[in-house]
Amino acid sequence: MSAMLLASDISIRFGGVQALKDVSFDVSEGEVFAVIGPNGAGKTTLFNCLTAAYRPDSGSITFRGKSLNGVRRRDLAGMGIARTFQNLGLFDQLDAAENILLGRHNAMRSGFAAAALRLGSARREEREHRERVAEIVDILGLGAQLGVPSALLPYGARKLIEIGRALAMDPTLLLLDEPVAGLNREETGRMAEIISEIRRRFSTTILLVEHDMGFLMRLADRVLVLDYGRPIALGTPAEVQSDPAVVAAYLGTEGFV
Amino acid sequence: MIDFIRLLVAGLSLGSVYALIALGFVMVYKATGILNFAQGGLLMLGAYLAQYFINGVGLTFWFALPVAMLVTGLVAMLLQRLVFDRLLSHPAFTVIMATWAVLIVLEQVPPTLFGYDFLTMNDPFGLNIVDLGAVPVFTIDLWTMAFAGIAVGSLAVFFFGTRIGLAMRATASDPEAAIAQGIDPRLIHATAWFIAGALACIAGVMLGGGSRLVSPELSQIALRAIPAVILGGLASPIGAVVGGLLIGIAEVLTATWAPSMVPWMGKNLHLVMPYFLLVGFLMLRPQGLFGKAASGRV
Repeated sequence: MSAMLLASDISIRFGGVQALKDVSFDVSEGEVFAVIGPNGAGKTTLFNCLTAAYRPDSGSITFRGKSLNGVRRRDLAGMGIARTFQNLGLFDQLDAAENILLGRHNAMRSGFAAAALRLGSARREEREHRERVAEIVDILGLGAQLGVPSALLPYGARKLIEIGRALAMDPTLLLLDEPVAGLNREETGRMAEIISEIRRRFSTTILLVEHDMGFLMRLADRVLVLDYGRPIALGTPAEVQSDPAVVAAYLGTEGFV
Repeated sequence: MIDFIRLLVAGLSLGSVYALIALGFVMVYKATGILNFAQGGLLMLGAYLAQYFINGVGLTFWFALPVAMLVTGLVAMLLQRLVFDRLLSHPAFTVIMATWAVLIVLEQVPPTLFGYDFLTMNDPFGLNIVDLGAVPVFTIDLWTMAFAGIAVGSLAVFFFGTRIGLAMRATASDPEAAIAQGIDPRLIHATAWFIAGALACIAGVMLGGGSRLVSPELSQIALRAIPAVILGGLASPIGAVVGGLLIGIAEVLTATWAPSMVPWMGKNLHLVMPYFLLVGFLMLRPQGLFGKAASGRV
């Protein structure tokens, strides 16, 4: 297994706050890699650096040997990097299928004019994309929710649609920002099953930011623990869980099993 | 009754023009968050261009109209690329003032090129009248409604049946999430401005054709579509169409009935009628008929 994503010595500062300090890690092809930490540890900042929303003050991030420095956010989809949003980035008026179809935007080859004029080749292509969407809807078990604007669906279903949209991109790297935040126990279990299923079916490399340690225990191959912007542990879930520095950082914090 | 049907047709025709202009406002607002006051300048430019393609180049009306729509749309795209895309991160007020400045510049371009005299469109409609049952109506009024209907239908197919249309709806809903799908916001903005320009051109041609003339005053008429936009809701294409038709009918009925019913209001009450409705709606239902309450930037 070779490193697909390589972050070395990332540091970023906002005014007087050192949000990240010398964070380094690598994610291997096919791995499920988790970043955890208490609130304010720098998880979201790190996620924003990986999705080209922030540019680190120093350090570098490379994806398959290509630097992400200077890459525009909208180019990530074309590179095979899909993401979800912590507070959901769904298109509220659109239903599950349309939301997921938008994940295929980048994969659609037919040009602007052909798409606008609905030429034959563009139609055929669209049909293929719709078939792929139907397959994803099936995997996620969203069939019963079709035709309903996503804004009206339960939060758990909306989270799944967002994962489906990311999946529709056929990503090589899937970045999930707190996939189980706001979900109940049952929905969290379902999400864990779905992520395992994605990994099994498509061998997608997954990086997820989370603070539900119980959820990660079953799922992640390796875990990076951040505290006050600094990496304090990196290893298998079992290793980091027994690490004294991690226990100290989390002491008294609920949700850490 | 016959009189009323005639008034209704005239009102729906004027309303169709307002609907086209209002749709242009809504397109640009939804895609970019900009309230584009330069729309009137585009409308006037479109009318002058069509007039030029007919009288200067010698194209038939049916060929001159699409060519003029194309050129007006491209001019609108150029404005977006050169001016408005560079102002996107600026406060809404700054951008609105910039659209106003662009309007004033645009208004001077056609008279400079084609002179300040009033020009005839030489369209095939002229003063022709057709009998609708027993009711005589202007041919151009029926064509205006037909064009508006075709435009609205095409836009519906575009937005609900094509990939770019879907991408535009996605961008209007959540620009950040749309970017994460690889959708280029500049392409979306350019498309919205092009559509707004092409719609303004149809409106200008129908306003400058028939019994009327092509003149610099055309630009002012676009401002009367703003009440239509507010009435329908700034972010609602359906609202723009309904609001446009309502304002058109209100204006025509006021023009006919007010002089005899409320003579002390003078003869031009119909010209301010849309603005009465505008103020009334802003006070009673600021989100419009079809809008949702509370939105971000104006």
